[in-house]
Amino acid sequence: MAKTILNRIADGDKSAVQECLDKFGGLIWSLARRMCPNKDDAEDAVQEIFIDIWKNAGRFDEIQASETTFVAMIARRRLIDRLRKNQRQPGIDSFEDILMEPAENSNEMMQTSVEAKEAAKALKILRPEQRQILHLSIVQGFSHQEISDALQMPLGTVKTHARRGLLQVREFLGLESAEIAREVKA
Amino acid sequence: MENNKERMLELLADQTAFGLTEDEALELKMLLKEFPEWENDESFELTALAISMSNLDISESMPTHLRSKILDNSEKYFAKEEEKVEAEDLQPTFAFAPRRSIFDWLGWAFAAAFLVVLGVNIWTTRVDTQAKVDNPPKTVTPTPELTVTQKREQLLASVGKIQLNWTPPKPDAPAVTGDVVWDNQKQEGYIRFQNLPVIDASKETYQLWIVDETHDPKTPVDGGVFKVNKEGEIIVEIDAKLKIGKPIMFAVTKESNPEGVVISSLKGLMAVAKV
Repeated sequence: MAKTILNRIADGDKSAVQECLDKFGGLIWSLARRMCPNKDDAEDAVQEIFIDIWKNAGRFDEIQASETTFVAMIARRRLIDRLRKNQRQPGIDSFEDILMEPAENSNEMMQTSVEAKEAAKALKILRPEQRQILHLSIVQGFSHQEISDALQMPLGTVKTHARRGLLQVREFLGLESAEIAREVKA
Repeated sequence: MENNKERMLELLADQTAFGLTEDEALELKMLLKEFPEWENDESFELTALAISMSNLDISESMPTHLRSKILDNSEKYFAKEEEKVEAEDLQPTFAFAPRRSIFDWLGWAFAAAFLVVLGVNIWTTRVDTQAKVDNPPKTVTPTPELTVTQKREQLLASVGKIQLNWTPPKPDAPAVTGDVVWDNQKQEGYIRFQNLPVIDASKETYQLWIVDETHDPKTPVDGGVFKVNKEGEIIVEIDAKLKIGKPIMFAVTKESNPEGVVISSLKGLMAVAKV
């Protein structure tokens, strides 16, 4: 069986790095652009993500997940860590941008995964405040306190909306059982 | 049982959405013991990933200069990895000696203890007591305790130390200068500031945080509290409340509780020093 790109990177095959960039560069760059406050920050983040990928390539197991899922998970973890570590004190202006709903159904939008498409559908069935809170916490990395302050909503309510929203999307995606195959298909 | 499971699900969701506090992480750990089948659950992380990727615009390709940088980084990364492998190959053979069981060592420990007792016994019974009088024990002059400045200087000379400059957390934050010196092997370090504002010690405190790669980054280690009651340079010994595995950042916050806080809101972030 042919070795995957990640297997080859784990074996120290430098030529696989080019292929890794070709295959996942666009996805990682897009995630970074979405989750970083500016382009410079996104560039730094993408460099860190690729180093994480090389470091962790040896842990990749194709029985557990696809390469895309593995790579995207590493990318998201790094991006969310950066967002949470970045001790910002957001002003109203920065929140205004963030609170804007992401554009939908633009011709330029391309869906990268079946589950991501499903997640987009699932987000639509959520209550607007659940959708907004999930976007702020999961995509923008804001703490419950920051969201509570920005939305003038009690802390407990923020948590409840986030939990319920996340559980609903998880159920919609058929991930509700811990034993279900863990994969975000590319 | 059902309540516990519900609580566990809540915590798993919170972990993904916001991260957990130390107490919550501990609570989740306990609950996962009750439901071990959830130990390695990634369904919440996968849900978050799907949400992050929904409606993702991938029309913009990665800038060419970034791609070049990543390729350069990969050259450096793989060269380092190769060096590591070569260094491992050159390890002396005794590094691979089989480990002894604790019982092997116990035998030696008992033998050593027996020799000590025997030695003391011979000394007290056979040695001429007059000799003791002729050779009174020398008076040991106590070494004066080093000042914090001297201890910092000493640490600066150590091979394993790192030295990092403080930087403001935001471009418009007041400029605070100084540095951190930390030796991970010794678990010892000092922070130095030149112009940290004076605070009212009865109302506020400064608190040091150490972000450790081996701990949850959401819960940095408390590095101790300190006051500033005079202008000019101050040096404070770091008092890490936990063993630091691999520090990745030091940060100082101003807290409105004079005793310090368990979790900082980071609203009073004064300075950061990244490794």
